[in-house]
Amino acid sequence: MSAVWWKGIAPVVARLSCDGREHELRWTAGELLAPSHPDLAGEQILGALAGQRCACLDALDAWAGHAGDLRVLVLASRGPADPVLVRPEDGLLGQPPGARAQLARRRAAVAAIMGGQASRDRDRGDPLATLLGLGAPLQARLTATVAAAWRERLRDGAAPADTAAAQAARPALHAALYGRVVATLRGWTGQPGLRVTLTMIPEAAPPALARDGDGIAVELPFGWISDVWARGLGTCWDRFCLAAGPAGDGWELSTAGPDLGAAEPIMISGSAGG
Amino acid sequence: VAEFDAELYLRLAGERTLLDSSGDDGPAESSPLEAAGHALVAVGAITAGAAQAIVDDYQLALSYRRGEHPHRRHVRARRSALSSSPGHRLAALRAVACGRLIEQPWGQLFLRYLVLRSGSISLHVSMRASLATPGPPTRSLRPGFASATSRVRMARPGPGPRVSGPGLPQQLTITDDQGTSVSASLSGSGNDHEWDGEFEATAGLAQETAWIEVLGERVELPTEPSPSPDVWVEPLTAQDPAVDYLWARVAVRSEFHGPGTLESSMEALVAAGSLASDDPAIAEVRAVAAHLSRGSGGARAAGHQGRLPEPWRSMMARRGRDSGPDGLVVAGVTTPEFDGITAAVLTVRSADEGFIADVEVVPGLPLWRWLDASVDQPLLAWWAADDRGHHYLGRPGSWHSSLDHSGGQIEFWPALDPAARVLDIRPATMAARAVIRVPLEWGEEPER
Repeated sequence: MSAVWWKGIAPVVARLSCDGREHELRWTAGELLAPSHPDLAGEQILGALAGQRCACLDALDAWAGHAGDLRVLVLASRGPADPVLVRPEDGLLGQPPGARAQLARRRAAVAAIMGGQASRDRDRGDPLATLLGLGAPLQARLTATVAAAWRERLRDGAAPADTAAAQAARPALHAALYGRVVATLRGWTGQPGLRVTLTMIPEAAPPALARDGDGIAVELPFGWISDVWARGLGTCWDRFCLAAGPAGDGWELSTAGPDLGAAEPIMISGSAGG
Repeated sequence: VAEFDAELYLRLAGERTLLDSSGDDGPAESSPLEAAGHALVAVGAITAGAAQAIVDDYQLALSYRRGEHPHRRHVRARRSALSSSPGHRLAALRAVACGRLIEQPWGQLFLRYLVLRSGSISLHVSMRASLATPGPPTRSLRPGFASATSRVRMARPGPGPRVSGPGLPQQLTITDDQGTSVSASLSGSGNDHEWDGEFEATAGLAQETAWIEVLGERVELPTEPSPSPDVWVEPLTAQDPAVDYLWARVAVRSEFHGPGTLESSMEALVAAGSLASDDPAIAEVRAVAAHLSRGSGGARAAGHQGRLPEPWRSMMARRGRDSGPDGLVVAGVTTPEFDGITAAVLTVRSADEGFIADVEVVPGLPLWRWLDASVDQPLLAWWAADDRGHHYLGRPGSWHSSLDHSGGQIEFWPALDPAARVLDIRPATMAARAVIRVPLEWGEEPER
């Protein structure tokens, strides 16, 4: 029950200041594009030769650089009830190289005065902060991108190196899934303190949901983030979605009701999450 | 039984911290995540580097949700950098009692004691402005044990030998028997009418000087403190690392910087298999922590003393007594290094309610706060014991800390037994402790 990871995730547009003008960044079909720069390759070459950069190109580079970054899953929002308040200007994108270097030197100097080493991109001045500051919709798509990359490594038949990487990252992946599942379940039940026990199961294993004392025990694969959460299908018609997959021109959801009874299918037509 | 995964445990604690913080836009006072991280590192369940990376990431995530400035990561970075950079040592020192009261038009200057080092001096004083000047209520210069709130030392900025309004001088010129003069600046704590602190200069005087001159008065110095304290270091063998850790937590009173952090530590240790969930030490630690959190009221704690282990039970029983002797003992002794720490005890000053040790510590250890602490910051507890079998516990009061050096006053409770003749001050980490054996031959304190 899986599809191309970006299928059903609606395109979004973010705006940012680039060379003194407001430009658009467009995410669609799993890719971030800079439509205000039609000759992107040429601009990249010219920029490299002249030592000049612009915010749009920086954003594309940052996106590519963080497309598999597990820290995205830590820093980005778990859902609508978890707003992330980073401002785009907290990052360095779009600053000319001289200014960026100056800022970096200043930060390093401040860190040195404070007695420590310069933070290694773990600051509000880091490009990831700027990406997160481009708005919740784009932030959710960055999360979907990262989740999809790691989900591929978890699949049976993944390359040995990918499998090993996924095994090493398992605690981070489990935690990322936990945070998003708990946020969704708490919103669904209306219980902000709901206790949730999550078992992260193999990608091909059947999901499950059951009452666990005064809490809920749930068994889900990491791919739930890509298949369900990223498509905005966490809850549907007052039911919790355990899994989602393409069915014809729509989607088939496996859902549990408020009574936490047996899972039942729901068919929806058209785009999910849009 | 699944093997305990410390990284997963910490990350899930981080997720719960984030989820539970939704809608809470105030600054985090404490974090169960950090408490769990510190506990797991202490028992070796995870490396400090791995735990710190997780804690830092989740703290950054929290700051993104609260609009906080993430400067404290720099603080942590410097603590971590410092802990891995050896070489900081306390310089040899000579500490001598002065015991001189100097009357001035602006008020009284009492010279308590002088610390001479190669390249620096500090003259520890108390000052009181002339009584003619009205002002706000002043605090006693005696140990202030009534308040559980730590006083933070403040430096008085600005050069020049000026006094501010009805206040007190901020600089003094001090001269030795070689004719060398230094200008020393005031730091410490107090108000415009009373000040308790020290005049410090980064230029040194002759370490063996027989006298100093201050405000035109010559102050003869004793050749040596007599008798000299003994000092040694003892390794501490862990009986049970998890239980020892919890007791150390209670002794440094770190749990008071966030309700629930002690429970978070216990949960982490139980989850890691380092502590049995039915270990009787858990109830004892909880009972002591509860008593300590009730403040200094001995009577309030009296009803539950039967459940407390020693030395806590006898300490609680003596809490609140105002029977300590009045006086000052100059120790002026530096410990050998223990568990990466070197400490100097300059003086012990006793009063009715308790006693204070003026100390210095290398490397710089800040007042314990979870938000500033790295996951491997040592728990330095200040214990003391006298020759009468009584035990005492100290905590930083007035305190200052820099990158490689910290110091100030350790306020001990309960009040010192007036019959005690010897006091062992025992700064201790979980791995080792120093013992500074101070003969209690009291010098005079100023009449207040």
